[in-house]
Amino acid sequence: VLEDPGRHQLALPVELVGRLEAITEVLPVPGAPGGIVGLAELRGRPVTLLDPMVCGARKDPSAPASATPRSALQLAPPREHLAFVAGPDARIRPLPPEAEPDPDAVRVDAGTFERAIAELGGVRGRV
Amino acid sequence: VRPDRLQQAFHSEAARHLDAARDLLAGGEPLTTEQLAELFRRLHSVKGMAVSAGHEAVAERAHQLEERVARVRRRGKGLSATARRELLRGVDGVRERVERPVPAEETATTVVEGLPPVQLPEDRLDRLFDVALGLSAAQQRLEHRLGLPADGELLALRDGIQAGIAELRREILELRLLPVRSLLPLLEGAVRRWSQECGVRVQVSVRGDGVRADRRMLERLIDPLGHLLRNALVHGIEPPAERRRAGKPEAGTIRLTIRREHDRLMLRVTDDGRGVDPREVLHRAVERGVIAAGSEASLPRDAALDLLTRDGMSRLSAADGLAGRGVGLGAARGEIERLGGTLRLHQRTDSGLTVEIRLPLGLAVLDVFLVETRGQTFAIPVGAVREVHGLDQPEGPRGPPPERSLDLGEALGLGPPGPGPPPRALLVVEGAGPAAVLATERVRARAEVVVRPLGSPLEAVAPWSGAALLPWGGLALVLDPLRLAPRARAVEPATSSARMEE
Repeated sequence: VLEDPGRHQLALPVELVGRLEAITEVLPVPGAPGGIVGLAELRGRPVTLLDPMVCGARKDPSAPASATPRSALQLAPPREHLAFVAGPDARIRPLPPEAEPDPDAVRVDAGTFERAIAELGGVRGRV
Repeated sequence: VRPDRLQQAFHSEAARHLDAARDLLAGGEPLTTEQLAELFRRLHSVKGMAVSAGHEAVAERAHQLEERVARVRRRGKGLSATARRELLRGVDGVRERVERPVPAEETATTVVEGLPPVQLPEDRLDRLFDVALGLSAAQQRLEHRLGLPADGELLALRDGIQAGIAELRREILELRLLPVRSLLPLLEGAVRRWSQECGVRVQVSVRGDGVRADRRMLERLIDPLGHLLRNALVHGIEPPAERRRAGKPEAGTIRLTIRREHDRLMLRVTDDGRGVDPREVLHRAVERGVIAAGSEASLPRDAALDLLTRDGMSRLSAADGLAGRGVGLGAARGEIERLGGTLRLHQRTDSGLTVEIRLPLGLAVLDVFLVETRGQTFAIPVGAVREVHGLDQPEGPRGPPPERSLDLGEALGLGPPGPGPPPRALLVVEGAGPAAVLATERVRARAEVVVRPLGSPLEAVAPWSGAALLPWGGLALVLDPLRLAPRARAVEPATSSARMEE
């Protein structure tokens, strides 16, 4: 579970989860569809930063509107060019298979994730 | 002889003999005694080489075919049509086996000299490259934070580390590049099968086989290229009798041209078949509501052909004469666009169809101009820039008037220029069509950068072809002039005095 205090909780299958990385700079991508926050460089690789809302995460209304992402959950290979953005206090909490995630957590299975990415890819840039 | 060299020699030589045997069998005329002897020799050579290289299955099959030809020669009655067809099938079968990777137990074991070469699995190679780039990025960031050391010894140490990392990066990048031509053996068997199914004869020629591209990109090209070759065979190349009537050689030609155009790979598939009637395409497009009635008159010829790749044109009935044409082309176009590329159709009057694909090279080291607009840095491949003009230089060659330029920030949807500094540089950028004049706030640097692909879903977003790792750390989007082309404005050709190289 990606816990991002004040923002959201995402319950992801283990095979999607790579590692949580600090990000210092987000490069905006003109023409990118909504849901793509921008690009960040993680260990020499450009990584596309996704807003967890593309997978149905709800934003906490009390969260600051212009909060800058400070970390990113980079996905595991072969999707390591993608990451979910998160705040500075985000953390990953392992959840045993039999345990139920918090009712507020949004469950994202691999199928939902692939569909969300395919939908983003289907939306061509405006440029 | 080292085992790998023996295998290479076997693959190329056996393929050469089998292709020659195929040509003999596929010809329309009855085989002469000399041709039968040559066929026997070719098969015999394949058998001998297969035995030497440890390919027992190939040797066995070649032996069976050789025996069959020997029996025909002994009888002295020539080759029947049935026997000829069966031999042709047999030769193609052996050719396919020759192309297949060799199972470990089938390789030669008696000629080993020293230990076998080290083999690096592909994922380890990718990982190694990531580590090298990560190291490079960390070093750049560290340098940026610490600044240039004043101490001469430290400076030399820094230069050594920098050069070492750059060398490591280059070496690993080289390992990842493969000749584009290496795609062809994967498609040759399929081309033979399709031409047999369609009853056509075809020769595939390749130009520009020295071009190399990232292995990952090449893997993703196999399917679209297959679609295009199949389309040319099934719908383009006519059967021998029809070609004879049209005054063409019985065997059709498919020419594959490969070229590197600055940061892009260009592949052109041209056939000398019956082509497509643009009027018929337009008629069907209007009929199916793909374009509005009345708009067809204003469409250029190539734009009419492009309609073939559009949704709604892929289910044409056999009565259309275009049946199936759009299916493969539409599929190929979809796949190419997913890779961030473009696909265009061309046709000269009374000739076959040409399909041109342009794709980002994938991972590459590129020479780029780093330009700034609205506070963001973008990379433009130097090869795509015809001229650069500084607008604040009182003297020197002047470029096109600024009012004819396109503001880069506006072109990228970053909004109109703000109260900040006005554009100070003009770049004349060339795509596939007319050149565009881009106005930008400044040209920050010219640099050699590593460009990495964006991957799905950003790879489909125009006009980006990748992300460059900046020499001072961080990223810049690489602009693909070809995908900016729809907003391009034509300019006059440059005068020689204003050319960039001067």
